[in-house]
Formats: sequence, C-alpha cells, structure tokens
Amino acid sequence: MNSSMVSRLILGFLAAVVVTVVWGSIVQTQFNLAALAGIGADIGVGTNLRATLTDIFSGFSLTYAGYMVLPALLIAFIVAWLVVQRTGAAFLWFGLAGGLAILAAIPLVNWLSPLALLIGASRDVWCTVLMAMGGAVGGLLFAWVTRPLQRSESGADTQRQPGPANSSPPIPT
Amino acid sequence: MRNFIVSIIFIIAPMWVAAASVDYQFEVLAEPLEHPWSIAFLPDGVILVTERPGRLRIVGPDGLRPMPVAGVPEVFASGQAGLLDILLAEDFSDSGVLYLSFAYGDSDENHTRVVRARFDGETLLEVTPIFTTQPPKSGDAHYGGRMAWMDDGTLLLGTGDGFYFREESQNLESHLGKIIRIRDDGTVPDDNPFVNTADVRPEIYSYGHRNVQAIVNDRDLGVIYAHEHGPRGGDELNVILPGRNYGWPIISHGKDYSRALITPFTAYEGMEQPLLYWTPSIAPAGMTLYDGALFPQWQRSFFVAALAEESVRRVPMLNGGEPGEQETLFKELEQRIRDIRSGPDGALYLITDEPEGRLIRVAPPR
Repeated sequence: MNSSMVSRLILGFLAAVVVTVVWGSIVQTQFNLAALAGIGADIGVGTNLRATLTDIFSGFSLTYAGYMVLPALLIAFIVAWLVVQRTGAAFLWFGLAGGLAILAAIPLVNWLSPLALLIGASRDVWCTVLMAMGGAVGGLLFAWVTRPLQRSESGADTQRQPGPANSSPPIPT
Repeated sequence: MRNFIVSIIFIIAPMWVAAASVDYQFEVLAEPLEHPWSIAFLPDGVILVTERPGRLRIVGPDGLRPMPVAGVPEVFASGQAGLLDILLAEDFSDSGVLYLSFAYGDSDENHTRVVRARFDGETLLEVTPIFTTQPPKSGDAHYGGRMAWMDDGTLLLGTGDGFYFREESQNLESHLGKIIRIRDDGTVPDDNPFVNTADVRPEIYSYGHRNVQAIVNDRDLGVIYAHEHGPRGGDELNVILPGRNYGWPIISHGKDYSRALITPFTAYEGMEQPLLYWTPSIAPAGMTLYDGALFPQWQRSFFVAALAEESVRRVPMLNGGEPGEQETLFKELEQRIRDIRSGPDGALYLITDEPEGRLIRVAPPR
C-alpha cells in the first residue's frame, strides 16, 4: 500500500468520523430541544439553530468523537475491511459496521461511565438509533472514499474473472 | 522584575492572612462509617449518623457503638439510593420522635420516602411512613432527601428528578424535582401553594429543582435556602418561596455531562434565578448556617459540603441577605464531604463520603 493509498484511507476515516459526529450532534440537540418544547419552552427556529451550532462547535462533538465515534468506527472498519476482502460489497459492510458500532458504543460508554448517563438525550432509545444512522452514513462515505483501495486490495469488487487469476488456457489433448 | 515581586507579595499576603485568620483543628469522632449521609445531635450529647446502605449509627462519648440502631426500615440501597437524612422532631426531648428519609422500593419502581419513628435510645419504635413520592421511578439516582423544619412546624423535603426524568421537575402531577411541604404527620397544610389547584400534587411547595441536597431555615431572617446539584456546572443556591418555579431543566447554568446543551436558556420568564451558582460544579451535598460561639469570625456564614471539590465552601451572608466572597476550606482532608452541621457546642461537624467515612469535629485548637 503506497502513501497515496494510506492518505486516502486516513481521509476516508476522518470524513466518516466528522459526518458521524455532526449527524449525532444534530440528532441529540433536536431530542433535547423537543423535550424542552414538550414541557412548555418556546423553541424558535433561531434558538434551535444556535443550540445546534453550539453543540457541534463547542464541546459535545469532542466528547462524542473521543469517547465513542473514533474508537467505535476504528474497530468496526478494521473488522469490516477484513470482511470486504473476502466478500466484497464494501458499501453494505462499511455502512452496517458504522451503524452497529455507534448503536453499541453509545449504551456501552453510558454504562461504563461513572456518571449515570454520558449523553442525556440517549435516554430515548430512538435518539440512539438515529445517532447510529450517522455511523451508517459515515460507513458509506468511508466505502466511497476508499473505492480505489477496495478495487486494488479486494477481488470481489473488480472485474476479476472466475477461477485463479494466473490460470493458463487449457491445453488441448 | 521588582514590580513583579511586589505584585506577587500583594497577591499572596491577603490569602495567607485569610487562611491564617481562623485557626481550627480536626478531631475524628467516629470511623469507619460506610458512606455516612446525615447527622443529628441528641440532647444528651449522643450523635446519630445515617449510613447510606441502611444503618443508623450511634456515636457517644465513648465513640462509635458497634451495633446500629434496631428497627430502621429496609431501604433500597444502590448507587445514590439508600438511607438519607435524619431530622429530630422539635420536641424530641419530650417525644423522642425523629424522621428518616430514604429510597424505598427496588430498581424498577422506587420512591423517596419519609418515616416518623420514636427512638428509645437503642431502637426505633412505631415506625410510620408519612410521605412517599409519586409516581414511582426506575434507576438509582437523584433522590434529594434533605429535610428541614419551617417556623410553623411544617416539614420540608427536597426531592430529585430521578436523573432520567428531568422533565418531571416541571410536571406538577409528579413529586420528582420538587420541594415538598407537609405537616409532621404527613398531611397537607391548608396553605400550601397548590392545595386547591386541580391536577397538582398538593404537597408541592416549589418546583423546577434537579436534585435538592440541602434545605436550611434561616430563622433570624425567616428565609428558606436550598441548594441542589446541577449537571456539569450550574449547582445552585436558591431562596425558596412558595409556588415558585426554579426552572430545571428549562433554565440551567450547567451542561450535559457530554458537554451538550441541556437547554439553551439560562433565564426564562416566570422562573427564578439562583442566589448563586457554581460552575464548574462543586457538587454541594449538605449545608449549615453557622451561628456558633467557637468561630465568631464565621458567624452568619453558610458552610456548604462539597463532594466533587472535596472541600467546604464558606459563603458569608451579608446584611442584605446577599452572599459575600466565598472561601474554600478543609481541602487538606482530601475527601468528599457529604454533610456539615453546626453542633450544639458551637463546633462544626462534617462527614466524609467514603466506604470508610469519618465523622469529624472542627473546633479551635485547644
């Protein structure tokens, strides 16, 4: 694997992390604001937008990325990569891996945390599910960015013919 | 360079004077106490200490007695749940009556409960539940539990939001996240703020609280103070008035543990602002308004036990009822402080929140 391949791999991973984090941040903000609206708070569009941007850019994203998204996607994509080498279907496996990784990471880190719950909005299981969809999108993005690597590393997504790649034509007897 | 050195001297000197202006020493009266939570001083000099797992311990002149008080009701002990506060009846000398608050139930359905009992010196007798929060909740966090007497003999109880149910603090059909006011037999006073309001629990005195950890009646000024845990920041000291909304979770100066906004609002129409708030959190866990004779310099100060900061905050109260500049004390103990009380002898008594916690008396050096 040459340096441009490594760069593409890193780029794909970072893009997946960023998309997953921003997606998750937006989702949990909306759940928090909806809960407040449900008890009578007036959440206008401007307030909603400011709160959403605040969560993305000042605090939540770093916590979410550091404790959950980065380690979860790293493990999930390594496993998915190995699977893709054998089976192909990169979009399927990386998307599935990203989604399942976040779906598992949120309750796992909440459970490991000495605090009662690290992400308050994940009290609602649907918040966790929707945040996990961000992991799936991140996985799809990773698969797309690393397409050339999939083609060069794996036979499954390429134009490879059936049978051994170096097999010779049959010799007439 | 000389200016720099002079500046440093001027910065350090007042701190040294402030720290040295009041001498004190620690005396460990009892250990080990398993996560002690509250203290009560009996007229005969005995001190009762609650332990969160569900024991009531006696500390006499000879130290900690090995056998806990018999007759303590079974508590739900898990996480923050367990035996919480103890409060003596104002006529305890004659009646022997005391009140205990504790978590009651199991992990799926639990409540904060108050029982009334008579203490004969060794055993609790006639244990009678007088109040149980409704509806039940799950989990083992945020029970509140602190109690205090009002001047008219009614009982105040702070509750918590159960952590997972923070919106319930604004729900007047729920006791979660409230300050409750009841008579000493558990009945509802006729002048409670919501007593004639439909679909409101009549025991509610104030609402919009997160996890009330101390209630103090300043009998000189006729003011009720309470403090409560914020989330990540936003611990509050409030002046409690009947029927008022203290805002949680619609307003808060704290954030979620993940650093997300719990709310975009720090102020909102119809909601009370705290007298002061602590960000970052100190995790206030108990409080006394000191008026003893042993530390005249500290009179009219709140002493706030702090778990996270492992300290006691002294908050001098100025004449107008405004808090003055705070002082951080007792950090040399390097332990989480669960509660602090003014003893009848003028000393301060504190308990440390540890598996082998201690009851410590703070007094001037002999």
